[in-house]
Amino acid sequence: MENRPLEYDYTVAKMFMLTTIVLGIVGMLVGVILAFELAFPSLNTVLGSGVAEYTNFSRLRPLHTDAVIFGFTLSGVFATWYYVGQRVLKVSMAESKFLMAVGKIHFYLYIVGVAAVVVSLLMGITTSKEYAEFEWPIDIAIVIVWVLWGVSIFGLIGIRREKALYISVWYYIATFLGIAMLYLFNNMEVPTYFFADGAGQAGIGAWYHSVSMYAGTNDALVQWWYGHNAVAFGFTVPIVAMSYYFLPKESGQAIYSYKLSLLSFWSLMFVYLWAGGHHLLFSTVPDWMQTMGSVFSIVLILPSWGSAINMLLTMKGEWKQVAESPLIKFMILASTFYMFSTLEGPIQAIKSVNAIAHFTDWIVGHVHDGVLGWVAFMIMASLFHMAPRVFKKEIYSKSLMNTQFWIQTLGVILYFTSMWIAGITQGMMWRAHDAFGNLTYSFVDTVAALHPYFFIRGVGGALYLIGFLMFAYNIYKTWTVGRQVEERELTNATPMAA
Amino acid sequence: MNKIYLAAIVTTLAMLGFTYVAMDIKGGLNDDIVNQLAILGAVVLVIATVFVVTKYVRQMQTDKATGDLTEENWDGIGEYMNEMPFGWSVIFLLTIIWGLWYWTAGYPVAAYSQIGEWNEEVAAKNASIAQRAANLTPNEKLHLGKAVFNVQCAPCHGTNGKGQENYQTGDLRAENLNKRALSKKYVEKVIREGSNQLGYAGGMPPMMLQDDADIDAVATYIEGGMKGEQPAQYAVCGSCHGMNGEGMDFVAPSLTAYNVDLVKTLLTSGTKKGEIGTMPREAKILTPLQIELVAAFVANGPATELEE
Ligand code: HEC
Ligand code: HEC
Ligand code: HEM
Ligand code: HEM
Repeated sequence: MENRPLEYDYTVAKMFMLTTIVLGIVGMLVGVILAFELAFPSLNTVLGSGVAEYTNFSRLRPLHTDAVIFGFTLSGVFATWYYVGQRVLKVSMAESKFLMAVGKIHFYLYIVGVAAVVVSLLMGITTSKEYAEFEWPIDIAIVIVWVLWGVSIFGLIGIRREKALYISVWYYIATFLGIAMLYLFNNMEVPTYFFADGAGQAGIGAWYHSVSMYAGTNDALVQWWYGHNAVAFGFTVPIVAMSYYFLPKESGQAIYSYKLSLLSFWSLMFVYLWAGGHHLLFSTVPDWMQTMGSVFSIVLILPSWGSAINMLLTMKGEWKQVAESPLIKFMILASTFYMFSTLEGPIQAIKSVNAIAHFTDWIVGHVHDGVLGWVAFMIMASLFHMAPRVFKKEIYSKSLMNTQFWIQTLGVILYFTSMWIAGITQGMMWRAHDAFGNLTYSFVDTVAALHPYFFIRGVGGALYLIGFLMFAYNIYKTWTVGRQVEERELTNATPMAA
Repeated sequence: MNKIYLAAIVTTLAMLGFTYVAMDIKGGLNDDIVNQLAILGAVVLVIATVFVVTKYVRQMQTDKATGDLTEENWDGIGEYMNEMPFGWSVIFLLTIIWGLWYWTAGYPVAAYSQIGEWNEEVAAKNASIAQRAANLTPNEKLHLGKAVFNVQCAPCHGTNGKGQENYQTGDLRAENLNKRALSKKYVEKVIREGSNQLGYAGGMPPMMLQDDADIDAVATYIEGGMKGEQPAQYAVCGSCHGMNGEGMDFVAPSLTAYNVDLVKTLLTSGTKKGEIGTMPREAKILTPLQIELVAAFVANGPATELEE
């Protein structure tokens, strides 16, 4: 063993932990509202028609997706980076005034960006591209935030003591580079107020308004190359980074196979970028591109499962830890949900299956077994592991954590199974026709058939939100009243009070 | 039984059960290859995931971590130099080979066209439908017309064709198709201005009557459903609309009923503009046979109960 650990400085990590929790609550609360609005449409106007503009489904939906992706998930990624980065590179943020300043500016500018996003989305100002709704002024701010994070990553790497980069760092770097490239290309937009159109007329629309630089099929292609890889580099790559650090650290086990980590990493990087076409099957995109999307999606199963299997095998012989620690349970279940969603996705990417799955709730189910079961589980587990280290306190309550685990597991199960049934039912109803080719059902028939499942989904989501509030409470209590702990209690398994 | 196996079995059975429920609610497999493949995919997904996860989780109970560690370790985390799992490597290799083969040789890059496939399928379907349509009873026709109506027309005209009230004011609606109800105001307007939107070639010329009193009399008569004494000036109209207002195929619409000719003409070439918007030109999405069927259904009165 090396001598005494460095004094790591978790100031920035702590700030991002806070936003992870706050934006998680906001995003999931809006998700639950959306779920119930779909089940009971009158809720759209429940606060009166005067404010219906702000309470209706369409206005709130992008708020949900962007709050959970760019708020909750991204904050989680930043928080864990500012924690993991120092530790596996063996340098402290405190050693560089410059990096510390960059970290703080990164955080505050991020907050400004979040505020601008929330306000503009509520006002209905959007570019109407999914997950890329922000207008150009906000995009510019986001690019700066991103560059600052890049400076922080490469700055820290530049002054590291550890010669080789740990696999998690590779994944963080990939997150940085991947999103940078995707975001820039997909958000190429023309502010209509400042640029003249073909006929030489300028000053069209509000100053913040813009149109995409691409048109038609090209726009769709770039959009879903981005959309799919937002999943890759937002919901997969940085979350795998977390699992490669927090699972072995918490359990005290060595990673099962170095080779497997390496091969999974490079193949994931290579294959993901070609699979975006599966979002545009049966569209005007050229046939060969659609087929490419499907083929690469199938090949993608193995790189995805590689990391998950590496995690599961790391726990070989450690059943006792799994049974005893709710924290490890979170991470093991996250790995299995990761496997589930990365097999479900490829199956839905097969053209004949997509013919039924596309536009149905089966996709929404796929999304949420991934994000609830994998992304959010892994982020919460990471924060649970970090809390005692950054606050030097013991986790406030293990039994609360246990209860949270089971409530949220039930929540995810209700969510994805109800959407599984709803989606397949919906797809089959849409396709049903008589011997003369007449459709059997009109759209509203499917809505009526799906009502019970929409309700169950709402209940599942509400359970998940309750679990998340328990998580927030547990962390808050850890911070305020947890027992002080010694450095030596923090080596592996996280100390938890009963 | 070991808890892990139990959980695996329960999960598998539950998910397969849910899949079965989804198949069973409505719609169903319908002999449709896409439906069958989707269900197959769902089943493979459940079984493969549960099988592989169970295998590895079971190893947590029975196996032990072994192997040589790499030289480096990071924040106390080591990595074993273990080989990659054999099954995983083999399947990965196979998918890569399959992918390369499928995309280059297996998948006929140059010969396949999505739109071509679609055209072929539609042509084949239409041919088989036309063949069967040749021997339909009138009642079967009405049932099929109803199927078309429910999907293509009901969203605006209501499931029984009685029109849909505007949900706030209760007055705007797409026409009630059970009863031809021409308002006096509307008839007057048509007499003065003519009309060219139902799809009848040439439409109706304006100023068929000049005198206000004549116009008033004829319009009142038509609004009343053409009952009672017929005003003499109606003769002008009768030359096209028929003396009883029953219309003349291809020449002028019936003024008393939504008959087959009116509906067919409207759907094929009209763009009727009403208070709430324009009646879409349905010929774009309906085949001639479907138009025939739905016209018969509308002429029969969409709210009329059909014999089984
Ligand atoms: C030259 C033949 C002709 C004569 C004469 C004629 N119509 Fe028409 N009428 C038509 C045609 C054709 C249409 C369909 C117009 C269209 O496509 O919109 C029509 C449509 C109408 C409509 C509108 C139906 C609807 O659903 O929109 C009314 C009402 C009508 N005629 C009343 C009259 C009356 C009253 C007279 C006598 C004063 C009259 N028509 C004389 C040919 C004629
Ligand atoms: C998108 C809404 C919509 C759909 C779908 C629709 N219609 Fe209409 N339809 C209208 C409107 C609007 C009018 C004009 C009614 C009015 O005057 O308010 C109309 C009018 C009609 C009329 C009356 C014309 C007249 O002169 O009085 C008939 C007949 C009709 N539709 C038949 C059909 C049939 C059959 C279908 C299905 C194949 C259908 N419509 C589908 C909106 C629709
Ligand atoms: C091997 C990996 C994966 C593949 C091949 C894949 C494939 C797919 C397919 C085919 C769709 C449906 C497209 C459509 O018909 O509209 C989809 C949608 C989606 N998937 Fe995945 N998926 C994978 C993994 C994941 C994971 C791990 C997550 C999240 C954690 C995820 C999140 C999403 C989201 C958010 C959408 C919805 C996109 C939208 O329409 O807005 N996917 N995916
Ligand atoms: C409390 C739990 C949650 C509930 C109840 C919930 C509910 C919903 C609802 C109702 C929709 C709209 C579906 C539709 O349009 O039919 C949605 C979409 C979406 N949610 Fe959630 N959500 C929750 C948590 C999350 C989390 C934590 C994430 C990400 C980390 C997330 C990511 C998404 C995404 C990406 C979409 C868009 C999917 C698509 O376009 O196909 N959700 N959610």
